[in-house]
Amino acid sequence: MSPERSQVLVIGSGLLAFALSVVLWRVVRFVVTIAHEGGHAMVASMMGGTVESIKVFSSRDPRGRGATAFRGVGPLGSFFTALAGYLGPSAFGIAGAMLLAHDWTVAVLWLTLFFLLLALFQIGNPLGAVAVVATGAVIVLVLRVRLPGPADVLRVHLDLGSCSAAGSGT
Amino acid sequence: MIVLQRGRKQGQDTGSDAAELRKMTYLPASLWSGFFWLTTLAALVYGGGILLELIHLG
Repeated sequence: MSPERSQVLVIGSGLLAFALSVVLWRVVRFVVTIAHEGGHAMVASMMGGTVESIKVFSSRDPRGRGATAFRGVGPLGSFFTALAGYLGPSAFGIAGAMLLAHDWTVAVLWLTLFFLLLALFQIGNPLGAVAVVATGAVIVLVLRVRLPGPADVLRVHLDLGSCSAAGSGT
Repeated sequence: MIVLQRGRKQGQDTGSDAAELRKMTYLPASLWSGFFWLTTLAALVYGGGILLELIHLG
């Protein structure tokens, strides 16, 4: 994989992800909420606490975007758990980038699926369950279409890129 | 982050993480909001650097 093509792939994927996030924010924000609440839940567990429920609220809900209920973490644990929400999506993103840098592409997908399953065990409302299952379904779809080697994946990405560029031009 | 900021500006911020942290630490919620902005942008630059192979991991 030549560095130039790899950088084209990274920048193209980044721009595509950004554009999709802006256009589909009403949908994408549920994934961000899961990562946010997942951050709370993960750190609450690491602090020795028990996660009782993870809820995802609709965008009009006055309670906010989501809530994670936990107990048994103590004052310092509460502090780190409160910090973990907004740091969650960034931390998961960096962890994913590190794995990708080592070409562990499939591991990123399986780990995401594993964490979604953990969240599903403690999910506290129906909307949350729908959001987690729908996100997992997208990951499963990506796993199913994965191709043998990095070079093939790269080629598909580049082909997709040129297709969408041609499509938007007409 | 934009959603947090918007909620805070509309004055409806009683249950956000920044508000929780203010209650716990007696530091203003704006400081926590700023901290989250900084860490988010730093993560974007660091993660982007890793993916663009500008930062090499050990």
